[in-house]
Amino acid sequence: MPRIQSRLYMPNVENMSEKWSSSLDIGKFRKRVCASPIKFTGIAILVVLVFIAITAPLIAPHDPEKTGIPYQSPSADHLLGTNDLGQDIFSELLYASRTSLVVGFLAAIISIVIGVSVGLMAGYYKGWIRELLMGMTDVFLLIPGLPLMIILAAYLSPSMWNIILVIGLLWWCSTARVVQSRVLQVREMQFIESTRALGYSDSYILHKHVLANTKEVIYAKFSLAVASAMLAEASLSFLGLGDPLNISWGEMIHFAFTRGGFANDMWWWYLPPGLMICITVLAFVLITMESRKDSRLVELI
Amino acid sequence: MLELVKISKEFRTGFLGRNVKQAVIDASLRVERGEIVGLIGESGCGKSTLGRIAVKLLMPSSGHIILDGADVTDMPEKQFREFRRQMQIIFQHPETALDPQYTLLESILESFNKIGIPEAEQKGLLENISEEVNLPLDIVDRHPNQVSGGEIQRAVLTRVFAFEPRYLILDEPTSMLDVSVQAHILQLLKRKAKKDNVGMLFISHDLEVIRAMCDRVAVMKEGKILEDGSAKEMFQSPKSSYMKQLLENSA
Repeated sequence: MPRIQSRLYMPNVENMSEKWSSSLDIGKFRKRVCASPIKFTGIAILVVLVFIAITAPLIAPHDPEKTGIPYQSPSADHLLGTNDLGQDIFSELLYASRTSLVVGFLAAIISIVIGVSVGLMAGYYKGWIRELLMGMTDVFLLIPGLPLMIILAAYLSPSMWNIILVIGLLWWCSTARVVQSRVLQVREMQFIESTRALGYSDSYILHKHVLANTKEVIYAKFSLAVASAMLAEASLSFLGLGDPLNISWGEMIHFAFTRGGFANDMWWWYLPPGLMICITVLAFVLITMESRKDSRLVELI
Repeated sequence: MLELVKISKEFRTGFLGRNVKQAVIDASLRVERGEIVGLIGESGCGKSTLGRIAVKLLMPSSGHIILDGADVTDMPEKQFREFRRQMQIIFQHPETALDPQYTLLESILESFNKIGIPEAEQKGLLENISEEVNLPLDIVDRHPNQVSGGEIQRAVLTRVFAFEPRYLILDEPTSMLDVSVQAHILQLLKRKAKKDNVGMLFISHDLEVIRAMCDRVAVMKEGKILEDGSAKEMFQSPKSSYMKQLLENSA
């Protein structure tokens, strides 16, 4: 509650300021890393990937669209060789991280926003609202996700934004279920009732108390959602439903498959993007694994 | 005077509310200011439900809640918020009484902000109340899981006393605390009732605590109030056989 914090009356101000400044110094940081090495491994991998995505134009040795001699084997100039059009695969790999990460994050954000809103409402309000929302969630859960995504992606024009929307709008159900069950637990705690007795409104309680006590579940669910959104994107792209203008890792495998990479056994073409997908998904899973271990709250996931 | 008139409450569960459970049946009770009224009964007899209805955390199925002459039963929530200040409730379980995400201070300031106490006066008020309830000020920047149950309950009292309530519903406020802390908090509540003329409804299943605290006592069983009278009367010559039985069991 930022408004309250700003007017904090602090009995031992020195202690508090110490606590704040110390979170920046290196000794404390090392301690936190040692306390949860798995999580920090995940975060470190992720930081590197985001760095690669942002600085792709600077660190890529070639323009990924520039053509040259096709089907080259890996060499000092072309670390992962070239594809059928003579484009540098290593540069393409770096650029593809942008699409994959953007699709993963945005689709996850959409699915989390929908899932959390539905779960929060369904968990907090009783009666027909819950029946309606959870009924809807169950219907969505019953829809076989991938086939529907394939159909939608095939009918919509192949663009990155459509893929983001399709994944985001179909991937929220499990979040809604998890959030709802956590909210059901939280709403029975007495501080909810006593805050209501102080005269606070439902929206205040939902925001400051229910959501605050659900956030760990939401964080964990978010990182899993990014991972599964990236996998879904890779599946769609591999099937040729991706955005040809924004190449992603899944799409690289698709091209490797359709343009002779597999047939000619050019492992440097199809293997690296697959590994990148695995590493990224692994990073997110590592981040979640740790918080699952140190928090009783996340047992639900 | 806080008056509950012929309150009934039924809970409906199952498909289309087919299963009906009568939690409270025709219960009438009044609490004068400055008076501590005990409400005794075994677990599940509806005493906590009645307490929650008194502060309108639950709506009664029928009956009226009359606060200082005003019928607040069907008052819309917005209008009722003014009356919220006058009656407050304290619950049994200290471990979930405050939000674990916030420090004690942040939870206390939640009530200060609700009343609209200006920032400049918050510190002074906190010092006053915390002295009254014996809350050490050096622990207020801790989270609820870092302090004891008694300390949490004191923080809860600070939060509630800031409202200067006229009536307090105490739903077994001390039953989860150890004996010495319990005695302290009970004394403090009793002093508060007499000093600031606060009417209290003290819900408990502990006869000894009720005997020590209350001016009047009501006995509840299976949703009904069986008997209601001065504490002395009730403990010396109870009319209902249930109260007699309770006394015998505890003796």
